[in-house]
Parts: sequence; C-alpha cells; structure tokens
Amino acid sequence: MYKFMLPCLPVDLFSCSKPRSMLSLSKMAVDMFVKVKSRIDSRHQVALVALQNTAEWVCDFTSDPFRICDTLSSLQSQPTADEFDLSELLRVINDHVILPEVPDITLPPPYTVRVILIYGRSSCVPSIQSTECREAFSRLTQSPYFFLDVLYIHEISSDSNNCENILDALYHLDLRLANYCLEASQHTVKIFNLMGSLLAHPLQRPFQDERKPWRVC
Amino acid sequence: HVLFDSQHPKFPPDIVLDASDSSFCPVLTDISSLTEWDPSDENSLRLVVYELLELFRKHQLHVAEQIDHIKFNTEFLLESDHYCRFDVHVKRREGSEDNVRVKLYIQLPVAFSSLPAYLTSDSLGDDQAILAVTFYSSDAAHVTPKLKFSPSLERALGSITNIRIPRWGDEFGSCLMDYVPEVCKRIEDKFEEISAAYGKRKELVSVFLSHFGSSLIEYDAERFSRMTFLLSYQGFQCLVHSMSK
Repeated sequence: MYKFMLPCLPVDLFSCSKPRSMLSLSKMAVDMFVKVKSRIDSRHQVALVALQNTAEWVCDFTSDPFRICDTLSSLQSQPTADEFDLSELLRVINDHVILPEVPDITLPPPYTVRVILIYGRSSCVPSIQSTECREAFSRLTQSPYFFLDVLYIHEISSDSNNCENILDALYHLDLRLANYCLEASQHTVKIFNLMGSLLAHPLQRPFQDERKPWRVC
Repeated sequence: HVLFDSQHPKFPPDIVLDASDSSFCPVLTDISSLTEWDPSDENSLRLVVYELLELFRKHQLHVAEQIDHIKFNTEFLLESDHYCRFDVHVKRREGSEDNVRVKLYIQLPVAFSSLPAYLTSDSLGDDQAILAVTFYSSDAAHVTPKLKFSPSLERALGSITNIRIPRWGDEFGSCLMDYVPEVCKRIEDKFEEISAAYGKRKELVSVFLSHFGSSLIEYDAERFSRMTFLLSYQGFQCLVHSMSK
C-alpha cells in the first residue's frame, strides 16, 4: 500500500518582515519531506500545487523526488491577496485525484491520498465559498482513504493579524478528526520537526494528540 | 493445430499434426467428442482438445519408454502416489532417429499453504512447482534438472531466494526415485525458512510498535520488511529506519 501526497504550498508566504526567507524555509522543509518519504518507500508519489490567488497544479504525481524539488525551487513569491478561497484548491484536487474504491473496508486500499496544506498567511482567513466545492469537499472527506493535513506557519499572534481565527478555520477543515493540524510561528526548528511528524503514514499514525517522538536517553 | 470454423459450427474441427510429431497418428474413432461432434454443446471444442492432448501424452510416454533408462524413471513416477502427475515431451533431432531428447515435467506435491499470504495473494490459479528433467537417449549420464514455479510465485520467490536443487548424479543418485523426494524436501525446508523469517519479522515489528507506537512514521504491514520511527535525542529529532531483505 503506498500513498499519493499533495503538498500545497502557498507562494505568497511573505507578508512578514523577512520576505523570501520563510518561503525558502518552507521549500527546504518540503524538499526534506519529499526526499525522506521517497527514501522510506520509493513507491510513494507526490504532486505539487501552488496556491496564489488561484490554485495551480504545477507538478503531476511522480515518485521522483528531484522532479518535485526542481519544480519547488522555481516557485516565486506573489503579492498577498485579501482573502483566500479554498474552493480553487478543492477544484484542482477533484480534477486530478481519483480516490480508491475498496469493496471490503477491512482490506487495505491500493493507495491513500493525502493533501498537506502549508498555509502561510497571517491576516487572510481561508474559507470555502462555493457551495459546490463545499459538497465536493464533504464527499472527499467521507472517504476513509483521503486525508487533509495542515501546517500553518504564521507571524506571532497579535492585534494586527488574524492568526487565531485562521487557525480556528483550519482546524474546522478536519471533519473526521483523523487529520493533523499543526502550527508554528516562524520557528525554524519547530517547522522542520512538524514536517517530520507529517512523514507518518495517515493510516498507521496515532491521533495528533497522541503523537510524540520517543525520547532516547 | 486444431482448426475450427466458427462460421460453420456444425462441422467438427480439423486436426493438423506437425511434421516433427509424424509418429503420432491418433485413431480418430478414439476421440469420441470428434466422432460424436455436437455443435450445440459449448464444451465440444474443449473436449476435442482435451482428448487429443490425452492421446498425445500417452503417445509421448510410449515413445519415451522405448529408451531403457528413461523407462525405469517413468515407471517409478507412474507407480508412485505422490509424483504420478507428469507430462512427457519427446524431441527427435532432425535426421537422427537415435538422438532423442526427452523432457519430463513432474508436478511436485509441495504445500504452498505454509507460505505467508503476501507470496500467494497475486496468484490467478493454483500455485505449482514443476521439476523439469531432460534426458538424452545418446548419453544416460547427461541429465539436466530445472525447477520452475507458477509465474506469480516465481516472481515472489525470486525476490527472496533461489532454491538450489542438487546436481544430478551427486549424493542423491541418478534416478528420479531418489532425486525427486530430495527436491521436494529442499523446497519444503526453504518454505519453512521463509515462513519462520516472516514470523520473526512480524514479531519484531509488533514489539517495536508496542514500545514506540506513538513515534511511528510507517511500517510495511504486508511483509513486515521495514519500519520507520521518529525519535528524539538531546533536542534533535532522528528518523530510525529498519529494513530487512
């Protein structure tokens, strides 16, 4: 059983005081993730979606981690929009992803599909504005073989941004409590550690609140 | 060749024999499904082929048994309870009536149920182990045995191990009576080894999961051949990846 993964990387990660550094950090984290995942099992396949004002499928599913990393390195930052509609992302996913149908749920599926949304805006609350896309999202999340993990990288929460509301909106995307929703405030080590947690296979990993890396003395 | 015109099913099929099998001349009245051809029965053509094949097998066996050292071996197979399912193919070298190559394909009675499920789950039909033994009429000492498995099992076993069969004429003798049981034993020993290794791997993964389950990244839930955990050491997070061949 192998897995299709879909890191969704917002390329406008720079409404903070250090433009480009956090985008580079996110790219490095995804680069590490893709290469390690391929090293664990070369059958895993990854596709890449860039989130700007719309969602763009920039690299199709491939088991070649270097192809993903090359595409990743070519992404450039864009100006931040005031709002972000997740409908575009869901539309793109619906167009490119076919979920497995397994007649007997006790049998392992041939593959699972996991979307890893890396969201980097501190002022823009994401939402699903299209009714049609909300229904499509509901159908996707009803499948036991579809997962939506979120890594939220944000500025330090303050009155001048909307981090808490954004985190709340991202938490509420998890309708089955089977997904991971992780957040970090631009802390390099923490971001990489969280990406490490996201390496876990969604059908085998513990629930988010039960997960902890075992401390070796 | 069996030639059947589907546009005119009331006519029974024609049978064309290859020149290399010129000694095979079946009596048509022995093929009852041909003489009593029933175009309304969907199994008619299949029955003709089966009966023809059966006559051909008997003919091949008869030709092979003209050679003394081969007859000795085929008699053992026919009289044995375990190894009586076999096929014979005789090939005569062109221009030479004496230079004959005889291949025996012996179905071995090995139990595949002892193998882990992942090795047999892709099989479309029954799994089989066939011992192909080639004899030469011109040289009784020249015998080449070869072990073959059904395709899906061959692919699965090929990735794990190659089962080594003994050389013909060594300590296990120069006749099928001694050789075939030894080959079966080696296959069964290897299957037991594969099964035991699988059990050990499964046990190892289970122990790791019971201790480090909260740190699991992923493991091979089918073959238990690899597992990865995320551990923490002095502030660093480390991936521990274990693989077995």
